Amino acid sequence: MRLKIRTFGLGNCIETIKSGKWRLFYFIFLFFFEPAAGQVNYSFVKHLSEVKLSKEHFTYISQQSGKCPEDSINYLKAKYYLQYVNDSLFLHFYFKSKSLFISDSNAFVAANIHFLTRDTALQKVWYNSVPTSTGSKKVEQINTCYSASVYPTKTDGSILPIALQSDFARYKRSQSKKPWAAAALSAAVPGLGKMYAGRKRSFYFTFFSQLTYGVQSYESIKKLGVSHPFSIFSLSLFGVFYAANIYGSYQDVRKVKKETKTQFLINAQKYYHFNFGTPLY
Amino acid sequence: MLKNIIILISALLCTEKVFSQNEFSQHLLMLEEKAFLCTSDTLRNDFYLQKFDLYVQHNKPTNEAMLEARRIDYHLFRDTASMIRFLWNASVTSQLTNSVNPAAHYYSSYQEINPDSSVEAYLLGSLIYMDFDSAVARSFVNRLVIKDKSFACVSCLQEVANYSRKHKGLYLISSALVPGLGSALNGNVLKGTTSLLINSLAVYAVYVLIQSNLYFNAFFWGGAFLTKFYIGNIKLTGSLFDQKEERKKNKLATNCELMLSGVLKQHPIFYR
Repeated sequence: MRLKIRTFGLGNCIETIKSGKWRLFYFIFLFFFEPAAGQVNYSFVKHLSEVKLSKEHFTYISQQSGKCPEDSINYLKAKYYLQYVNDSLFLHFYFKSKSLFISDSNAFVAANIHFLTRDTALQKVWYNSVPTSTGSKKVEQINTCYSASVYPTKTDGSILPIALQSDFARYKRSQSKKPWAAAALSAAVPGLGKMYAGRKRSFYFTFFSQLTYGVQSYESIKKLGVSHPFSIFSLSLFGVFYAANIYGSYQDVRKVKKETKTQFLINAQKYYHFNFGTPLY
Repeated sequence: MLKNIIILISALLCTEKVFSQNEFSQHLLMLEEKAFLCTSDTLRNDFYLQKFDLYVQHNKPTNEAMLEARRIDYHLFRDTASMIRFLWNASVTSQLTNSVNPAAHYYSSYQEINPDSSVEAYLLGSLIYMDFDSAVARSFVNRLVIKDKSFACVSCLQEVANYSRKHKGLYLISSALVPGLGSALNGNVLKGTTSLLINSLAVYAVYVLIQSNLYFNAFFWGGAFLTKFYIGNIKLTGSLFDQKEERKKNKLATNCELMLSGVLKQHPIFYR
């Protein structure tokens, strides 16, 4: 009887065992020593990652389960999901292999850069899990940038890289603005709240539209009287537009706050990716 | 007895490794590992070909199969037969994954190495070049028609791609002259009537406002609303025209698809 057995880890391939005595010896050997023989071929994993053979990559990692320490497998899975952008699974395996993952500076930096622009909830989970002192200056810089995005008013912009300072200053300015102040300004002078939010064009459009509505309402009241249906219709239109402009200004400030934050983080990600970006493997 | 029990336990523990090799992804991984360990370019190329063939055997014309095809340098094949077979399969896979440029490249290389005048080859050529170079596609269709007149329907793909409704300007002008007329001519009488009604009411409202000496109001309503309704009516005609064109195109495409599937049922294109 010829029996072919392939052990993947060490690359030694086919054993042909003919005699019953050797077969027994081989099986006993496999039973006790095979788990120890399973080693991850990292250069092969790197190759699979570089060529983007996701199917083979996943199969290889899955095949190593049970053969290699669980920590190593979880670490490889975390890197796999980081490469193929599955944030929740990445975090799941990252927490299972945290110490090992943090010790891989390339992957750790890549993950930090990656999460700068990810979904807010997962982003929070990630940055809360990052140890305060990692020993990596790159990670510390990225974390400072993330902290600046969370607490802009408490952060001094000069600690950020020069390339990001103008974006941060814009973001910081927008964060100090209050939606209710925009609403109050728009109530006083139609469209002024939009100017306060930083939307000049919108201010001009709103102001002149409101002015036109006002003049046509005034004309109809003057010539037809306030109780005339057309005057009531004109005044109603004016009122609706006036209220909409107040609400729009309130919403604009909130929108601008979000937009400047997103823009700041996108630019930060681009900057760090360009300066600190290294291959995952 | 004890010996047999130990063998049985060990065998059970190892069956995963012995049998799992049959699985598709395991097989792919095994070939990739062999290719990775290989130092010879020719041998590595052979392993890549084996991987591509595996996709072909499992009838999986996916993007992963295309990735494998792109890794293969077919000039390194030792025999022409393998090269021809690969180029054909790569052409079919590219066509099925909508990779227009690689499909044209593989197919032209295939025809260069092995001038093939079979119906299957011409049919594949006409399908590939339909999105790439319509003149070449037409020449393939003509050659097919010479063989069998039933292939004339293959050119329907080109007709679908080139189809466009005529006289769009005429519809727009008619809408500009009589609001709603263009929409009605496009087959949407209800929208056309509504358009006519809204524009007429807006004109009447402006007239009444002028009569009431509300000049600013007349200017405002006329400038802001009447213009908006009038331009909107012309824009509506344009969009209705485009929608009708799209519907007609979809109908033609569906008919063409039916005709093509009939042709492909009679003359199927297989992997080789």
